Amino acid sequence: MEQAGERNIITLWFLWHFYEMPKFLFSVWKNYLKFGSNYFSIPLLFKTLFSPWRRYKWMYPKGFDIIEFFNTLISNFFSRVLGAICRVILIVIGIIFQIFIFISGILVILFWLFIPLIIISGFLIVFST
Amino acid sequence: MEFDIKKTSVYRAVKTERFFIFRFAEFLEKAFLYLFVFSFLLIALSLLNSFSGMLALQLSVASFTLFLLFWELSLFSRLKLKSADLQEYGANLSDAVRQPADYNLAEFLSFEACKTAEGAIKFCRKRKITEINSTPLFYSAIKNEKDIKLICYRLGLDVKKLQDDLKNCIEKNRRQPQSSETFSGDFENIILEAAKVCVERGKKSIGEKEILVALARHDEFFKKVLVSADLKEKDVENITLWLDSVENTLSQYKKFWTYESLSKNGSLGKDWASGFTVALDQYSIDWRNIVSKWTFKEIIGNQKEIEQSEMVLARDSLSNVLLVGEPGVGRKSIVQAIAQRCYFGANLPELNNKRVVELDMVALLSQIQDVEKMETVLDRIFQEALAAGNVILVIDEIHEHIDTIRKILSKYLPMKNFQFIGITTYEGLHQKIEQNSSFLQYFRKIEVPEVSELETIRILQNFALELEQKHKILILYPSIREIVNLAGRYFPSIPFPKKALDVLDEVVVYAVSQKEKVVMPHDVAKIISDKTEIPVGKMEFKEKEVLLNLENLIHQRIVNQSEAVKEISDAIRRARAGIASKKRPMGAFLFLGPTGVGKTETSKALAQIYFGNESKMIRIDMSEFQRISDIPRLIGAVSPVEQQGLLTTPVRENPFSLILLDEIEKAHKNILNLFLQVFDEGYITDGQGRKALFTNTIIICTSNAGAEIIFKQVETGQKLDKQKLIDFLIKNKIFKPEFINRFDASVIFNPLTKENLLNIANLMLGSLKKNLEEKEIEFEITESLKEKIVELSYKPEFGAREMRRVIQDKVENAVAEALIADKIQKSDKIEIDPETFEIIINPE
Repeated sequence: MEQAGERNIITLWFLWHFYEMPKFLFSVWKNYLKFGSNYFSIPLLFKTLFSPWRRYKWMYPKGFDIIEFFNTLISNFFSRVLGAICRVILIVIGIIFQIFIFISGILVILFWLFIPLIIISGFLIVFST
Repeated sequence: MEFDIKKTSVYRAVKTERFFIFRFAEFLEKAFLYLFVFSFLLIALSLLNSFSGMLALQLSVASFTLFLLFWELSLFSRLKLKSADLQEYGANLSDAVRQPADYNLAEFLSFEACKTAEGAIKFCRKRKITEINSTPLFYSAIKNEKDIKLICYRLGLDVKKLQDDLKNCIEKNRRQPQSSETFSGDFENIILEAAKVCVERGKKSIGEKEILVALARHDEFFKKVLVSADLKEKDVENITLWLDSVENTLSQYKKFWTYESLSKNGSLGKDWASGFTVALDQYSIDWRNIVSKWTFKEIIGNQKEIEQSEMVLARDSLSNVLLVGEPGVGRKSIVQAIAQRCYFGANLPELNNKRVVELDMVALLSQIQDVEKMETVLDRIFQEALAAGNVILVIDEIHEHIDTIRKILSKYLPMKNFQFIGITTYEGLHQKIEQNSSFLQYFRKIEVPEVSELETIRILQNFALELEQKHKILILYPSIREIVNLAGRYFPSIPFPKKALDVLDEVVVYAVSQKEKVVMPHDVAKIISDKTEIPVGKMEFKEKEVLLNLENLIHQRIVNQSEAVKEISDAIRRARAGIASKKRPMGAFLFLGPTGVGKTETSKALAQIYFGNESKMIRIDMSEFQRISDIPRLIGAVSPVEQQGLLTTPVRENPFSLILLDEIEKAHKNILNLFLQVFDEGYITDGQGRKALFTNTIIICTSNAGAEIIFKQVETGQKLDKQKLIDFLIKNKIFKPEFINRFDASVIFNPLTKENLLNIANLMLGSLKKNLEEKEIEFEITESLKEKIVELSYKPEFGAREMRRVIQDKVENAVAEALIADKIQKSDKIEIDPETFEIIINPE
C-alpha cells in the first residue's frame, strides 16, 4: 500500500497540474458542450423544423367553405414558415455556440498545461532583458 | 489502533499550507493581477513617450508571470492541499472502521480535522501533558474551528465560557508527566467513533463535525455541558447534518460549471418546440418561474412520494397523479419538488424541462360565472395544456371543483401526453371523488403521509435561515427542537410540518415584538401556552408550588374524599413531570359513590386548578347514550347526515380538557367498549375518519352504582371495601372486568357525615360571604346557622345537593330581598337568625 504521505510536494503538484486539473477541465468542457446541446436542442429543432410556430394551428372548416379553407391553409403555411425561420436562426446560433465552446475548451486546457512553461518563459524574458 | 498524524499526507499539507508562500499566495495573486492591469497604463504612457517602453513591457511581463505563479500556488493550496482527497493510497474508511488495528486512522482526517488534532497535541505539549485525552481535542476544535463555533453558538452554548471551562478542566486534570507523548483510550475512541459517523454519512474523510458528534457521545466534559444546557447528543447530530447540507448547497451553488448549475438556464430549443398556452397563462401559477428564483430552497421529506409521482407522470398514458393527504403534510411541496427537478433537468428524461403549471380555479371561478362559458374556457385550457407538449397541469383541492371540471377533465385524462396532478384530502376523496369511480380510475392515487419529526427539524432549520435574514434575529437550535416537541404534543390534530412552521413564524414575530435578539425556548413555550391555554415548558416556581400542594388546593373546595384527591393529584404530577405514558390519557379514573358527595365537584376543581378554567371540562351525561344508535351522536357520522361527535369534536378542538362522563353505568355496553381503546391507545377514530387524541386529557367516569353497598357498609360501621364493591359491579354485569381494569384508579367517595356537611355548609356560606364582602357588607356565619342548615338538609342519599337548595331558599333569598329593598346598606354587618331565617342587621 503506497502512502500518500510519502509523496513529496513536487510530485503532488505535478500530478495535480498535469493529471487532475486537466481531467477536471475536460469534465467542465464536457458539461458546457452537453449544456449547449440541451439548451439549443438542435436535433429536436431539426425534427420539428417545419412544425407550426409554437404549435399554432388553425382548424379547417367542417363544411365546404373554399375561402375559409384557403384562409386556414395559408395561415397554417405561414405558421410553419415562421417556425422554420425561427428554428433555422436558433440552429445557426446553437452551432456557433458549440463551435465557440469547443475551441475555447481546447484553448483553456492547452493554456493550463502550458502555464509552467509560460511562467519559466516569463522569468527568462524579464531576466534576459 | 494506530493514530500518528505525523506520518500522514494531510499533516504534511497542513505544514506546507503554513509556509508563507502558500499563506500569502491569494493576496499576492491579486496584487500582481492589479499590477499587470496597471502596467497597461504604463504601456499606454510609453506610446506617448512619457515612460520607458521597455520598462513598461518588462513590468507587464513580470507582473503577469508572478500573477500566474501565485494563482497556480493559490489554486494548488485550495484545491489540492486543503481538499479531502489526499487519501489516495487506496484505503477505504469503512475497511479502517472494521479493522482499526491495521490502519493509521490519522490518514483519514480532513485538513481541518488534522489542524484540530494538531492543535490539541500542541496545547498539551505546551503544558507538558503527555497523555492526550479527548478534552484537549474538544478545546482545540472549539478554539480553532469556525464551524464548531457556529454549531455551539446555534446550540445556545456560550463559546467563550466553554473555552475557559475546558482550559480549567484540562489544567486541573494534569497528571505527572510521562516520558513519551501518548493518546489516551478515550481520545482513540473519539477518533474511531468519528470515523464510524463518517461511514454512516457516506463520507470519505473524518471531518471536524463528525469529531464533535463523537465528542457528544463519549467525552464526559461535553456530555455534562449538554446536560446542563438541556441538550442531547441527537441535537448535535441533527445540527451537524443540517450544517453539512447547507454547506453542500452553498458549494453546489458556487460551482457554476457543473451540468446541474448550467441546466438551470432551461432549454430554449425545447421551449421553441412547444406550444403557447394563452388561456392557461391567464388563470395559472407557473411553478417553473417560481422555483427558478429559489437559490437555496430545498424540499425535505416525502422523497418516496415524489419519485412515485414522477414515475406515473413519465408514463405514456394515464399519467395522472392524485395526491391524497391531510392539509399541511406537504402535498404542495411534492409539486414544487417535481417543478424544481424538471427545471434543473434532474428529473426523468420524459419530464425534464417541462413546466409545472397550477390552474388557479378560484381565480377562474371568480372571473367567469356563466356555466357554459366556464366549460368553454376549461376545455380550451386543457386543450392548450395537451397541445403545448411541455405542461404538467396541477389542480389544488380538486374535490372542491369536481362538479365543475369532472365532465371536461374526464375527456382529457385518458389521452396520451396529458400529464395531470390533482391534490385532495382524504375527506374530499371519500365524499366527492370516490362517488365517481369512473373518474377515479384515471388516476394513480398516491397517499402523502406526515413528515417525520427529524425532517420537520430540518425544514424548520432552513425556514429559520429565511426568517433570521428577514427579521435580523437569531433562532437557536433548542428553540426549533422545542417547537417540534411541543407542537407534536399539543397540536395532535394538525400534521407536521405545518403546525411547526406556523408556531415558528409566530414565535419569531413575538420575539421581534419583544425586541429580543435571540429566539429562546421559553418564547416557544409562551406561544404554545397562549395558544393552548395550558402551562407548558419549564415549570415556573408558582406552578411547582401548585402541583406540590394540589391536594390542599382541591380540599379548599372538596370536603373529605382524601383518597380520591390523593390519587388524582398523583396522576397530575406524573403527567406534568413528563414521566407518564405519552400514549395513554394523562389519567383515567372511575369515581364511585352516592350522589352529592363531591364527584363532579372534584372534577370541576381539577379542571379549574390544572387546566385553568372550569370551561375546560367536557361534560357528557352518559344516560343519554343508552342505545347503540346513539354512537353517532358520541363520535360523529357522515351518513345518513353529517354530524359532529359530542365527545370527539370537542376533544379535537380542545385536546387539553378534563372529560367528565357522568353516570357511566347507564350507557349501553357497546358504547363502553369504545372507551377501551381510548383508555389503552389514547385515541379514537371519529365518524369522519379523523383521529381524536386523548393523550392530553384526564378522563373521569362517575357512577353511583353500588351506592347501596357503600351505605350498608357505612351503617354497619365497616371500613369501605373497594374490592367488594368492584366484585359487586362485575357480578351484577354493571361493568365488565376489562373496562374496570383500564382505569388508573377506581376511587370510592365516602358518604358525607354530619361533620362533613357542617364543613360543606361553611364552604357554601363562605362563598356567599365573599360575594357580600365585595358589596362591603360583612356577613357573620354562626355555628347555629350552619347546624340548622345541616339539620334541614341532612339526607344521606342526596349528599350535599340538598344543602345547596336549602341555602338558596332560606339564606340567599332573604339576603337578596333585603338588598333590593335597601334594608342593608354598605358597611353593615349582618347575621341570619337560624330559626326564622330573618336578617339581623348590625347585631349587638
